[in-house]
Amino acid sequence: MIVCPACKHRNPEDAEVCEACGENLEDFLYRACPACGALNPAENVFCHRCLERLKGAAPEAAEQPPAAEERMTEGEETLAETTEKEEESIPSFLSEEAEEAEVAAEEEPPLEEEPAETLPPFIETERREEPLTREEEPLAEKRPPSEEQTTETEQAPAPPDEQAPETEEGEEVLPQIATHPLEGIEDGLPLEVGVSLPHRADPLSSEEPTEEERADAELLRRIAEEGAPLQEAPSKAEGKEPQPLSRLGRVLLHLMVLLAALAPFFTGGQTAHWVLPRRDIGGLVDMTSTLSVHTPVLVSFDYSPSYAGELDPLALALVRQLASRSVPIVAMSTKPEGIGVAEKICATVAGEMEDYRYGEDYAILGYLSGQEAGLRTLKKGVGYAFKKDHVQHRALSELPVTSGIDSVADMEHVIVLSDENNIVRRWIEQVRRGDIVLLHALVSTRIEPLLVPYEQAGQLETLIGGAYGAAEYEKASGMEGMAARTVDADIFLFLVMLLIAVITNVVYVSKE
Amino acid sequence: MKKILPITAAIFCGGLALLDFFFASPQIDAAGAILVEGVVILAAFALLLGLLNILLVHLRRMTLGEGDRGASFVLVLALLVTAALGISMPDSASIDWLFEYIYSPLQSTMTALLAFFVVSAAYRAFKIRDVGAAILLISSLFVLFAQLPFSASLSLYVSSLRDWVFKVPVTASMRGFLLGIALGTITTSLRVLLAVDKPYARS
Repeated sequence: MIVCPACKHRNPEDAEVCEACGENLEDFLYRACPACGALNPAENVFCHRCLERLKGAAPEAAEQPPAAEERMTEGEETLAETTEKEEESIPSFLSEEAEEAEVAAEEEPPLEEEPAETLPPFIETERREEPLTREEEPLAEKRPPSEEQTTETEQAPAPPDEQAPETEEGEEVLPQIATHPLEGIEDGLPLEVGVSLPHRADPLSSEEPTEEERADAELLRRIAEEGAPLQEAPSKAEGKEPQPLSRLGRVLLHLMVLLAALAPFFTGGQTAHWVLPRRDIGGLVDMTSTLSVHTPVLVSFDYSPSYAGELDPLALALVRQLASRSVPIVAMSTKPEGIGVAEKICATVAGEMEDYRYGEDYAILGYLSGQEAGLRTLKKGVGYAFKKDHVQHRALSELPVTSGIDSVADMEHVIVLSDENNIVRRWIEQVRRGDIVLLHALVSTRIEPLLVPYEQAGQLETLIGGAYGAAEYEKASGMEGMAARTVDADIFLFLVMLLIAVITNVVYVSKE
Repeated sequence: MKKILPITAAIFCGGLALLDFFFASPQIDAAGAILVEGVVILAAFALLLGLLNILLVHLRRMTLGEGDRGASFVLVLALLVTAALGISMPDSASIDWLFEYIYSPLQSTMTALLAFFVVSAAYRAFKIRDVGAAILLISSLFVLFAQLPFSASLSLYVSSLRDWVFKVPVTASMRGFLLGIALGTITTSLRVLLAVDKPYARS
């Protein structure tokens, strides 16, 4: 019999779904012990509680006295038949195991004689709540078998492994089930019956607990009795709680930051001559110096105005140098607001150089939506991703700067100006794949460390941070502009941070 | 059928995109291109849906009096004005003016505020309470100094040490982070491809 875990309906052994509710039973095969009623997993051969063989049909079940058989329901008759069939299918080695288990059960003291005080209280409670157990209703005491039943049982040609254990006096103790073991269970078998009460015949359960076990039990009891707080207490870092900054202190710190930001207005960029370009920046400047005037460079303005203060000077320095060398620029963006930035930068440079014209020297393709998918369309073809340019709404083939471009590979170099590391990652994954272009990333200093692994792996030709990159790029390209004048602010801001580190530790130590 | 159809479509499209990514075949490329184009169009519509959602949320706030009605009113007004100008006169100077004199300064201001928050946070974080805090302080100040445009001119050791910090500890931690993300992405993709997870079938 398979008990449905959902509705407790008892289904035949070969059922794959519950007859009552349709629940899939293949994964929930629990069989009820014909002797004690405990639920056992399908793979169990013997009942975990009473060691009754589960798959073999008990002879007394097959040879129930007529009175008992009459009380059996139709389902229970099916159970008897099924178990009888299963018994035949049990392999010989399982029968041997069953014999050994029976012998072991015989050697154990009778369940009724086990002193109740050896059981812990929680087991006693469960015993009282259990609807039908052998311990609570020992048939040998409360419902002795009739003479006919005893006689029939004694005379039954049961196999040795099915014979009931006998006491020394020869009295039958187990199994004396006169009625079907499941009789009286109105509802489905609760799972708790099968899993909560440990097997009483387990020799370990009768042993005295060790001191260590007692200590563990005591600890468990204390934990269980401890009231759970409604809200988890916030974890506190070790050490003394830092004192919050006073209002005056905060105002002073903010004033220092403000003065550092305004420093270039007073100092006039005195420190610009200290700037020394680092190797990456020198490499990028050298690369742009050698570019062909016939091969455009793709510049993607993938940053928002939030980082304009950091990246605009770098973008301006780059576009200025490319424009001064007459290298065509094809601009685009994968951020909606990036197109506004591209227009502003290109317009600024076009305003500075009279012969720098839209369509001939540079073009703005527009915003490419779709993130990864958008960049994949770009790789399939520039004309595939952009049907028309952003400013004049002309087909790309009509603009001199884009007329000869079919794919990204025609541009050789792609320079991405970005304030998000994921945007650069997308370019690497979707466009650079296959080494069709050389990718350079000019990014905000905030995300520069996140992209270092890509540079180390050779997936980025150049990686430059905006905070230092603009001034160094201007210096390397020999076109000093706005960025060089802001170096003073960088120095003052560093000094402010240094001062904060000193002040905070002096205050901290003095309070200690 | 209600479950089988989306699952089949998801497995088919996912498998096709994977094939398109790993193999160069004209037939697969063409099929992949159709899918990718569909994604781009869907993404554009998703942007419109997001816009519509913002509009509805703030219109509801204005009519029901929930939250800050004034802020909602400004948001809706700015949205409608920008949308009207952008649709009716996409190349007009008004749009450029809005971008250059309202949008850009506001965004730059928001980011600039970070400097003040960072300074306040630094006051707490720079206290040398233990060894970890000491390492944090020293490394923070060093990286700040190394980011200065003239740091390389003071000493070549500064530049070398900065490169070492970026190439060894930073790269190691970032690689671990990226590998973890990659493994998670592969697992999630496989779960979606094998229909263990069905995010597209959520109601």
